[in-house]
Order: sequence, then structure tokens, then C-alpha cells
Amino acid sequence: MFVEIKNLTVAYGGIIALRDINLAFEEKSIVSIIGANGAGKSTLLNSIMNLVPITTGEIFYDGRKISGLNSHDLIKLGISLVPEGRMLFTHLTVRDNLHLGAYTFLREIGRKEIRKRAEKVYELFPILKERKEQIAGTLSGGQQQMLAIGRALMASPKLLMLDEPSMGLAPMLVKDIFNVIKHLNSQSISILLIEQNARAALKMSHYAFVIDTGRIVNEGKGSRLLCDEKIKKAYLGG
Amino acid sequence: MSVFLQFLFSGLTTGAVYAMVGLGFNIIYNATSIINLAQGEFVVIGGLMMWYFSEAMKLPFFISAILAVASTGLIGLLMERLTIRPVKKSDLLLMIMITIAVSIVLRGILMFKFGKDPYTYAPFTEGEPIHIYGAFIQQQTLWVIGITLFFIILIFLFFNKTMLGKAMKACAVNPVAARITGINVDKMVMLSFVLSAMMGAVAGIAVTPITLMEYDRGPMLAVKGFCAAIMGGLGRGRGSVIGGFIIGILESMTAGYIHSGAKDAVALVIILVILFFKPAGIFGSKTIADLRRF
Ligand SMILES: Nc1ncnc2c1ncn2[C@@H]1O[C@H](COP(=O)(O)OP(=O)(O)O)[C@@H](O)[C@H]1O
Ligand SMILES: [Mg+2]
Repeated sequence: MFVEIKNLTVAYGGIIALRDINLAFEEKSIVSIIGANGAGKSTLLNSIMNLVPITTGEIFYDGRKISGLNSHDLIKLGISLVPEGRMLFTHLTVRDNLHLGAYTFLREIGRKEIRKRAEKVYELFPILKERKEQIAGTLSGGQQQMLAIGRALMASPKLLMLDEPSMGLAPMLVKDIFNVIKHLNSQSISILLIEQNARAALKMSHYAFVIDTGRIVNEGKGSRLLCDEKIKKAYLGG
Repeated sequence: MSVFLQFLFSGLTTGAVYAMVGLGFNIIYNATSIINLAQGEFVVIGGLMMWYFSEAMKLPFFISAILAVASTGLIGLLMERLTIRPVKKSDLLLMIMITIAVSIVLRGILMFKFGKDPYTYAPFTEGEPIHIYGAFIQQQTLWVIGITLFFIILIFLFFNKTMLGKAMKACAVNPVAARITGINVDKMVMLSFVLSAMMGAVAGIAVTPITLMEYDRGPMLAVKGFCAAIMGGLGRGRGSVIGGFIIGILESMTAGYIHSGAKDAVALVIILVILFFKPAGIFGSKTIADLRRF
């Protein structure tokens, strides 16, 4: 298994956000996590990225244990997160945001390679190229989301985790973002996706997990979950 | 006219030092949101270490200067490692209080090592003061102003043109995002203390031949540098430079035209006025609530 999480429990102070989570998935797949607000989806991604301390449990990635590693080490191993709410460097330019996405690799690959990677992002999102001198905080919501994805891609991830990338976007833009995700997956990037838009997420996922109040309550192929009566009722609007 | 010019030159000299202290505040604030009230001690240590290496050890000028800057940088590093890092997850006010504690301890050590006497050494270049419209300007004053301007440009280029500088700025804008992108926030915080200590040292080294240096200059320098920093809006390098020069000039005019005893009140009055009319402005638009989970 590419990613394997064993008995993961995460608590904020006394509040348990994730309870004994076990999940695993294969490389190069699109895996989504669906669940209601506050179910613990973000906590799951954040604990993989070591942004929240885990209480118990272990996380394995690409055959090695990664729980306990620093975020900057995780990036080096090929794990990137597009966080909830984008978390751009709003005072810096689009270009600086992108370049900082590869900051950890500066010494290894040099500025030239960083610029090359940025060019690749610009190919994916031409609008960002037009706006590269613009301050990130002044971009529209859709453009900010593109920039957040672009920044994560600057690290050349093998595993790209996206936390509600469609949040607050117009339906047209949501479609664009989903197409980008599919495109990235076709380039052998594994995707771990959190989505409020469960139907769309399940349609394009190879596999999915359903989280409810900190527990995994269902899992399976995207196509199977789409037909599951309980899931239809709870997450797909009947 | 000549008297006015004389006051102006003296104001520019002290103003340059305040500007450097203000910049030092900004460097640390930008990476951590901490107001480092031991900033003034860095200036003192710079000047006293320069004296130690050049006068007591009789080392050549350049080597002394490098050693003085390096040793002050080391103290900045130790300060971060020993006092800031261990408590970094706790609240900001506590950390600011820790910097006060550090400044008191540093002053104690300085008094123990150097005593209470003022120290000085020869100016960087020998030579007659320069006459301008009947006023004198010491060559060292030109050095101080020149060095300040040089460092302002250097810092500006560092934060705006280098990846390292941008990464440091990114930590300030959004520390969580910085972590997500793989920026080693701990390292940036440490670096900000080292850089800021080195800036302070440079100011101390340059100004000591003019103003002399003693162990307890730090707190006053910190107050004025802080004033310079908030005049420009915390976190804005250029603003704090202008603020520093303004305070320096106002002080020197106050001392010259009103009373020398009144000069130290200038910065305090400015701080009070800012607090009164623009209290939120001190911490910029993002307030303490937002401060900083690095
Ligand atoms: N930083 C935090 N401190 C305390 N509780 C939190 C924190 N972040 C999330 N929680 C709580 O943990 C639970 C899971 O939150 P989260 O992972 O953000 O859910 P989701 O992303 O599925 O909406 C919620 O009950 C939330 O209130
Ligand atoms: Mg969430």
C-alpha cells in the first residue's frame, strides 16, 4: 500500500477528533474522503502533514513510517497539501507564492529549476502567468485556489492532498478544478481529496472513505458508494 | 543656520542608530511577531565587543568588527535557542516579557564584565571634521549614516529579492502556510534573531566612537528604536528607518533649542500619541488575536 494509516487517534485538548482510524490506498489513485462538517476530514489530512500532533497511531507512506516527521521533511518525501481555505501568502506576489512552494528544494535543485517548475504551473493555469506580479490576496477566489494548487505542485508531489478545493467557487470553476485534479492524476500523482461536493468527488474517485464524527463508517469504490442507499441519503441529497 | 545644521547632523547620527534598532525590531517581528525588547542590548554588545577586540585584544579593525558582529549574532542565537524556542507555543505577551528578562540578564553580565564606565575607540577614519555652512560634521558621522543606508538597502534586497528573505517574510504572513510549504519555521525564527542581533552590533560598532558606549544604554535605545518601528508601522522596514531619523532629529532639536533634559521625552511622547490616536496601528491590521502560532 502507498499510504497506510493504522489506529490513528487525534485529540484537540480533550476533544477527540479522530478515533482509531485505519485506512490504506494504492499509488496513483484518486481517493476521496467525504463526511459532514466537523467529521474530522481536515484533521486527517493535517495529521498526515504533521500539522496537528497525533495521540496514538502510525502513518506509513511509500513503505516507511512518516508519523513524527517534520512538515518540511514530508514535503521532501513528496507529500503536498493544498490546505482548507488555501492559506496563501496573501501579501506576496503570485510568483513568490509559487517559488516558495519549492523553497525546501532550493539548495538541491537551484533557482533555475524552480523557475522551470513555475513555468509548468503556468502552463496548467495560464491565468496565473498573466497575474504573476500581482499580490496573491487580490486574486479572485478561483485564481487563489489555482495558486494554492500550483504552490503545492511546485514541490513535485507524489501524493497531493486537497482539502475542499471547490469551497466557495462557482460551479464552472469547480468543474475546472476537478478536471485539473484528474489531469494531475493522469500524470501519476496520487490524490487524496476532501470534498463537500460528494457526488462529484465519488464520480472521479477510485476509492473513497466516509467519515462520521471521527470514525470511518464506510469505504469502497467510488462507483459503489454512489449507489449506496445510506450514502445517497446522507451525503448525496437523497 | 550653522547652529541648526549642527543640531541636524547630530540628529542624523543618533537617528541612524534608532533606524538600525527599528530595523532590528522589524526583522524579528516579521518572522515571529515578537517585540524583542533586548534589541538595545545588541547595540551595546556590538560596541563593547568592538572595544574588546580592537582595544583590549589589539586586533586589526576589520577582524575586530567581524568578531564583534559574529559574537553578537551568537548571543542572538543563544537567546532564541535558550529562551524563545523552549516556550514558543505559549502566548506572545509572555515571550515579550522574556525578552525583557533577557535584556536585564544581558545588562547584568555586561556590567559584570565591563563595569559601569563608558568605552570608546578611534573613529574608522582619522581626519578633520568637515565644514558645511559653519557647522562641523565628523567623519564618523558620515560613516554611521553611510553604513545605515547601506544596511537598509541590504535588508530591503534580502527580504524582497532572495528566496531566504521571502521565506522569512512568508513565516510572518502565515506561519501555518509556511509550514505547509515546507519552510522550516523554527530555522527562520532563529535566523531572525541572529540577523537582528548582527544589525544591532553593526549600529553599535559604528556609533560608539561618537557617543561612547556603556553597559546600560540598551533600554533607552530599545524605546527609541521601538518608537521608530511603530512610527513606520511595525513590520515595515522603510517606515522604521524614516521614523528613526525623525526621532533623532527631533531629539537633537529639542535638546538644542529647548532643554537637553527634555530630549528623551520626545520618543515617549510620540509613542503616547500613536497609542492614543492609532492604538490598533501599533500591531498593524492583524491584531494580537491573530498573533502568531508559529
Ligand atoms: N484547532 C482545533 N482546536 C480544537 N478543536 C478543533 C480544531 N480543529 C478542529 N477541531 C474540532 O475537531 C473536529 C473535526 O474538525 P475538522 O477536522 O476540521 O472537520 P472537517 O474538516 O471534517 O469539517 C471538529 O469537532 C472541530 O470542532
Ligand atoms: Mg475541514
